[in-house]
Amino acid sequence: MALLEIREITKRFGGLTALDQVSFDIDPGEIMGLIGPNGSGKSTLINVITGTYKPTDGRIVFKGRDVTGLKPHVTARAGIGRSFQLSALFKEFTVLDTMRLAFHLQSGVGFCGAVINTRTTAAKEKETDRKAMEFLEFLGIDHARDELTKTLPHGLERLLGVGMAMATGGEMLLLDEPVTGMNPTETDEMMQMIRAIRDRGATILVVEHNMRVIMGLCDRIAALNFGQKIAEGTPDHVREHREVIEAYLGTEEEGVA
Amino acid sequence: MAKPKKTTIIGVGVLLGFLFILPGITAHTAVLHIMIWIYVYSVLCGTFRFATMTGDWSFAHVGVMAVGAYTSMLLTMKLGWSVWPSMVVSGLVALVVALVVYSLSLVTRAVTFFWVTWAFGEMIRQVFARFEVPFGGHKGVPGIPGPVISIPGILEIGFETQMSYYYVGLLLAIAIFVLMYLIERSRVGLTFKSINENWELAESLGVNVFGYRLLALGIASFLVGVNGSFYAHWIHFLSPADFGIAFGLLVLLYVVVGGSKTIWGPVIGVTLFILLGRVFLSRLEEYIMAVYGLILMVTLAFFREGLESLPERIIPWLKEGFSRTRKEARGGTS
Amino acid sequence: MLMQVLANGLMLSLIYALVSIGLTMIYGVMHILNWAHGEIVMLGAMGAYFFFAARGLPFAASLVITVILVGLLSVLIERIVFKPMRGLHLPSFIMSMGLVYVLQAFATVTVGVQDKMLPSVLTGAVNLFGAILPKERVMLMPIAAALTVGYYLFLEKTRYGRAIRATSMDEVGAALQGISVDRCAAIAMGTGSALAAAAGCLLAPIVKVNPFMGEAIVFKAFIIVFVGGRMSLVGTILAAFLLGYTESLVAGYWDPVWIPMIEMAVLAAVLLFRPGGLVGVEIKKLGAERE
Repeated sequence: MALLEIREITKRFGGLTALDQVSFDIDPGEIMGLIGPNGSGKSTLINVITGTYKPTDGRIVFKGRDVTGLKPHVTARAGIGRSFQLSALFKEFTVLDTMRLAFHLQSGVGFCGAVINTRTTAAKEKETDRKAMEFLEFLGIDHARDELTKTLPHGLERLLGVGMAMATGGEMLLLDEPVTGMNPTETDEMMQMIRAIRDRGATILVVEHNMRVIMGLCDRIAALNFGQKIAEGTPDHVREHREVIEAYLGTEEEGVA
Repeated sequence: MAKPKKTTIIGVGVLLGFLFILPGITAHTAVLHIMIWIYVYSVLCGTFRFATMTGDWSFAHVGVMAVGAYTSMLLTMKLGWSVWPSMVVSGLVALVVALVVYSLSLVTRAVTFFWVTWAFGEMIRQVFARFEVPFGGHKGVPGIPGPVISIPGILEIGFETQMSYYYVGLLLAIAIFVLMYLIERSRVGLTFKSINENWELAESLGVNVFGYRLLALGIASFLVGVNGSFYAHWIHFLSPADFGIAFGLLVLLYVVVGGSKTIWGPVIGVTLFILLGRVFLSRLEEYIMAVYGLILMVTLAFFREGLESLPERIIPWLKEGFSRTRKEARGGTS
Repeated sequence: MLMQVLANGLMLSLIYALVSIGLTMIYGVMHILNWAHGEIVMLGAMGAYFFFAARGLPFAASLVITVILVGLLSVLIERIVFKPMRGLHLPSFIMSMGLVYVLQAFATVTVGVQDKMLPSVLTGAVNLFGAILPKERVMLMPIAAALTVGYYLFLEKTRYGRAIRATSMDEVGAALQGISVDRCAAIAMGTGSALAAAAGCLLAPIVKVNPFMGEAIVFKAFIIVFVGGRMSLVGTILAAFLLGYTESLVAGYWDPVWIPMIEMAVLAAVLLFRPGGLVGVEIKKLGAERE
């Protein structure tokens, strides 16, 4: 049974059709890749899954539950985490505070509990702190825990971003171009981290342009072009697929895209 | 969040101690009166700043305080309630009105939110100004009763002089600030600030942004409603002009100059301007506002973060000065 | 009665338009909501008082001199006070708040808080289809209309005007085309304030002139700018007429005390449901329902 089902998702912005009846499934424990040229709708699809955008048509089913169009904080609580393409940080927060906030969802502390600061709350917050620290160690950035996030080098920034998405306790992780702007070493580290996260039990959808990463990481890949799914399958299958090649390189008449 | 530094605790303790014994040093009515103004305004500005933790600068805040004040007036004068329960209920009524206003307004953010709340705040005030029955209209409502503490045989505190009001005002302000401090330091405060930093990121982490923004504004509104009630029973007179745009702008002035990043900023701003206006410049009425204006502009130009940030800026600079002089004294370069 | 209301409405609308378009331009180019705009109007009125009433110069000359002086002063203000704040909404607004206090104090100290009455520019009234209109008020209509239309043409047809509009739409792009943002800011501020000062001069014979007269005016101007769409000149003019006629209708047929309430409700409604203003660009970005 698929963890995440994307069913006939269509999204129109006025006259522009960003997504056109896109469908595919993601199975538990998979690392699924999503590729396509710029403007093909990859980020839009992520936004539809998280609920940032409401689809014009179609359904998103997560763990058998229809989550179409639910607000982003609701889908996050349901178990879908995401990282952002452009740097998304709490600039004036320390790394530790950032992680503690990310874990607040798991802590089970409601509005009132936190305000009144009861003893149970204090115990839960201690637990959250411990988890946050442990997670920072897992990510390998615990040495920077008291630094302000705005001082982090780019690679650690993206790592933290992925870590935050993970910390929501999510079983489903949507990574929007996690290695953009990274050098090869950082890229390899990120790839290892993504595999480690999968080994911890998460299912991952990775949007990326970097083909080495996609081919190296993903169990399966879906390809979009102009909002439509043009291919789906194993890395080998997609790599050889005529339409995919055309989408990236253009047909013989058009020349190089 | 970080535990308060020892120096801060001691400093605050000393300050509070001083404030408590102040009426013992000088029971001069004018002095106490100014201090109470400072307490009332500190709560007004402090609660305003509290809500800005989520990034929402609400220009309806003064209007919400007005709701608290007018409700309390009605409860005590038309329904014969005692002041104390009236204060609490006024806070609740202010909260309800605020929830209605903000539920509508929170679809907007930043600048638009500021102006929408301006519109709503004015509308609230217009209600008080238009309807002479029961709000007294433009003429205002005189003769609002003061509080009474009277437990026969046990405790009897009169409110004829400013002294009793002084202590009520001080205790109220302390209670409110302590509450705000605790909330700010907790996970809730962290969540508020995360919304201000990057609301989309916070939302992706499961934070109900709308809910938390409403919570921050709701808390601030309840507290300022209670403050409004106290104000009414202290000043004994209410009119819509007391809550007009000019006052909203003064709140902004105090918070911007004092600083909005910490809980102390507004207090600094309020104290500075009230002392300046009522004590030092009281002879030069025409110039008061100009001085205010200049201070504002200078502060914005040079200390964008407000005066509360001065210690952070000056202390490292001083430290550097010291270490440099020491090195020079030892002779030779570093 | 109807004619009176319509005529009053026209008068109000034209004055409002004159005051507000300057504000729109200033916001459009520098993203500064100048709360001190009312004080600019006040300075215009003060100028009229100073030159026309106190010095006895002809009204037309007073108008011209005042407008030029205030225009230059505002360019100076822009350069010294606002330039570091360009693009920062809240700080620039608060800065303009401080400016209000300073300008009011300046006026108080130089001219005094007493209401100033100006001698009549034109005496007598005109009877237009049953509406009695004092000649002074009638006079201001064509002047205000001419200035408004003139400004519109300036923005549409001249090089400087187009440069300002380009800067308001895309500052970086305009800069890349070789347009000096500083110069555009100066022009926008100068001309916008000049219009406001002109409005002040035209109002001076009709209203009470004192250092605090700007407060009520800027209040209305802001409403107009927001309702019309902060960046749109046409929107501002439309909103000015909407406001002017609403006011005169409410004053004529109902009770003027309700005007502030109605205006605030309209403002709230516009900001909530059409934050770009009536004519302004729809601020509904793709997918995101907030600003």
